[in-house]
Amino acid sequence: MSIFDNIRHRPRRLQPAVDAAAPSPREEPVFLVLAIVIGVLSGMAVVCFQVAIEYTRLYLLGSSLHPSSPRVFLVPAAVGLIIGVVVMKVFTRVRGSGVNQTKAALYIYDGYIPFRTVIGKFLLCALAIGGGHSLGPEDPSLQIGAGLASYISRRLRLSRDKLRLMAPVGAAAGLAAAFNAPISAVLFVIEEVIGRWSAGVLGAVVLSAISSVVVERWFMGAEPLFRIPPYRLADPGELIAYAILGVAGGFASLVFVKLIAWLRPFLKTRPRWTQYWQPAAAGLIVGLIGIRFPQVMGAGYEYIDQAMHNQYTWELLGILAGLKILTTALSFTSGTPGGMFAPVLFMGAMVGGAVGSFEHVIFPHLTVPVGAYALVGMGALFAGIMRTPMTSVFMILEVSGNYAIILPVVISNAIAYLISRTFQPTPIFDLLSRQDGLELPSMEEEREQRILRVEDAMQAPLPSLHHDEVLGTAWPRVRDLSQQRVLLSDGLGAWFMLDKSALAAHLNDGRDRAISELLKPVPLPHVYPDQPLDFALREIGEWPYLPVVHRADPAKLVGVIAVSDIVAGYRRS
Amino acid sequence: MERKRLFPAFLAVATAGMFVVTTFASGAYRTRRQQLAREWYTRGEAELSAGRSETAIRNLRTALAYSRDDPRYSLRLAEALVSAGRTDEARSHLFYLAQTQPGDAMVNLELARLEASGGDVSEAIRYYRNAVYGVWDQRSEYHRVEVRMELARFLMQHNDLSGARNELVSAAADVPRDPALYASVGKLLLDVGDFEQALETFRAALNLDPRSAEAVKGAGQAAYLAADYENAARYLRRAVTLNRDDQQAEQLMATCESVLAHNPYLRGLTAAERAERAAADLNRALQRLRQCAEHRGVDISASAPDSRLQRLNTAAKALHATVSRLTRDPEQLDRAMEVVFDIEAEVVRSCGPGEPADAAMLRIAHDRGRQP
Repeated sequence: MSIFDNIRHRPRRLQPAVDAAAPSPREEPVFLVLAIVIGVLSGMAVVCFQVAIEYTRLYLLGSSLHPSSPRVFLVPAAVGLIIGVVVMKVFTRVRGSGVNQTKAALYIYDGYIPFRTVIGKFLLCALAIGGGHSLGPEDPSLQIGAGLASYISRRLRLSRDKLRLMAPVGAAAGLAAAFNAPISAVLFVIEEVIGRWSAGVLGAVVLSAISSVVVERWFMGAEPLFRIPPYRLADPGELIAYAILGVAGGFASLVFVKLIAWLRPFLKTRPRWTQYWQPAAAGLIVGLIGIRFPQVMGAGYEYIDQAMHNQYTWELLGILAGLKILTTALSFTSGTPGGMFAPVLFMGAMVGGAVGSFEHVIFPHLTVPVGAYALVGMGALFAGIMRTPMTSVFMILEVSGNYAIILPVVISNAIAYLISRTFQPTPIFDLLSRQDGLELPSMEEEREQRILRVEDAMQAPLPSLHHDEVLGTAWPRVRDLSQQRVLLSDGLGAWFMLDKSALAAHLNDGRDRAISELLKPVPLPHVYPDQPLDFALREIGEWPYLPVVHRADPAKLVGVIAVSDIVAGYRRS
Repeated sequence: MERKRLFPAFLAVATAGMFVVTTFASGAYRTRRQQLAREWYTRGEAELSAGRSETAIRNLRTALAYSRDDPRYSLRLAEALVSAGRTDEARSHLFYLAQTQPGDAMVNLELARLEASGGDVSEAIRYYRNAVYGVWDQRSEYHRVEVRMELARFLMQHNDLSGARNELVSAAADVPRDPALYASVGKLLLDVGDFEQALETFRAALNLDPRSAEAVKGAGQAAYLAADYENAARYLRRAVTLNRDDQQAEQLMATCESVLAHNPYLRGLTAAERAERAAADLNRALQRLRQCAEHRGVDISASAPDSRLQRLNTAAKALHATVSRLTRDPEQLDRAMEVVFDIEAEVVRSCGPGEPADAAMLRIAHDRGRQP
């Protein structure tokens, strides 16, 4: 029996270093249970938040979809005045994007989100959105969920690792409840906040999102956000119409992001006293526009529904899209707390509806309903502004429940996304964090980073020995190698390393014997050509180099890689 | 450490407290939304009744915004939009309803009407059929028959009499115990030309209400059109008794009686009686021809006939001379009656309708397969 038999099937990876911040084994199931608890609590918090927004709207603007002009004119400005003072004096951290604040908690503050921020977001966002500012409840819901999760995890003194991850788990729960769409919420958090697919996090995020949606539906019923008209792709030629919508959506996204990119720093650099007044001034403009176009006020879901059901002409839809871009940019950059998700969907529905209605005017024989354009337009604007391509597609599928729409959505979203990326390289969330002086990791940049692989850095294979080989015949092959240690294979996929001097020592007495009878070689890990370079770096440890072997035949050496090769590979990239 | 141990308990209490708060808040919220939806719906209905469709539509939209999954509001809004001529928008709401509630008969009926007005015949028929087999909130048997009747009318408009007849026959089989509804189906059966089935339907109506003037008259008309003049006269006499102002029934009754009195082809007559009737018919036709010619200022005794009236007069006179042969020669009787029919048709064309006897002659001509 060969000395290699015992070690042939050993685990290839070496023992990982122990992380001081790693969770204890007992923490893992607690983490999952906690994810459910956070989902339930976030769901209830979001329900209360929605109720608060609705009651605020009813008391301030009345129950009509067309409130009276004095109310429309006065309420957003008055609300803005209160918000300006409270944000400057009491809840100073509630302005800005909840997504970025959750990311900051994950990457900078070890999962810490002050509970005060949660309360501030709840109260001020309800006042702002209910008072007619052009903002949505999803982003604050996300932060309310994240804040609750952070608070509970801190109190339970979870490990730093889990504490960091709890904020995104709560964020997914908050967003899922606000959107009534768990898959989109999970994807958004993975795509934009966490940035990686890991089984441990994914399980917790999914559990919290689903439990929050269950709670939300339990309390609020299963009423949809908007009634989606039926759709089927009658003719592949219709896809051209959706491609045109993608182009329109891409440029509309650009206008919105560029406006935010210019307006936000402009307003932030005004004297401090003006920041008390900025929300009121934004409210005044929103109110003035709202007298003629009340549709642009608030989140606007009811008007998305109306646009989907052919209520507006293409001219009006175009005007509403333009005005919503303006009012949302004003409300958001003035420091009024609130989110952009619902306004982005509103803009998308209006742009989509406008393009669809216009195409119907030009080509009356088109069979596609305008509602389908509005739906696809929402996805296109979401892809163009939020720059989360997967979420934008799945959100539309989840909201519509119609898989026939997938092809138009993919085409339109891809075009809008590419246009937005070409003319605005920095995504909006990265832009906002950089404006705030935070260098949070850009998920889009991370997604698009080229992964360096072993094959990019490895050298050509060195001569290696076989364990059954006779020393006398093997020695001439390795005698002149510059390396002091040589590779040895058992021919079945296991690799070892031998010291050349030890081989040389047996040259006189064991020249005719097999290498396996003479020496006890040391097993070493091997890597595959397609594995990431950082994996090779972790595996290499103290070894001078590692064998790079073929995946289909691990006994076949395709190259070797040393630390110097890895460093050279990174330098070249 | 103590606080950490107590925190799960605190969390449980907080969750329970939040549950209570959320239950209360969401319950109040949902109730309020339902209440607002009802209020705006009522306002919308009031505006619709007052003929202010734009305000009504706005109010109904508001109602729908507060209760998006209540199909009543969507449907009412769609109906208001249809009546305001905003068919594209109405269609969109109806398509959504049809998607979420494919079995709802009212939704399908509205869609059928919309497609019918838009000229999409096959889609209209599909939605009408869906409506027939769909779910109605109440009085489903009435609604099904009414929809079938509407579909039959639509099919008649598009010259599909056979399809219309099939729908009406199905409707007649499903009519609930309502004489008026039976009579309505019967009338449509008359329109599609299925007189026997129409007569059956009117009889069914009369079984339920023997004093239904509409059903009696319908039965009379059906019997008349089915050439069952004895029954027709009987029903029409009853119809005239029930409604003395019904001149149409009276006229039809007179025609029937005249057919019964003058038709030489009636079953059960002897050859002599047939000949006698034919001779009388010929005489009467000649007389009417002369009156008409006189009225029109045509000299029918001219030696060189150049008008149709003159040619008919010549043919009638020639036949009149051979009246004695009518008893022995059935072909001669047919020839005489052909001339009578020609004269009556021409006289009606030139001088308008005359006595019931003239109408009876035309009716007999029709029954003999002559085209008018």
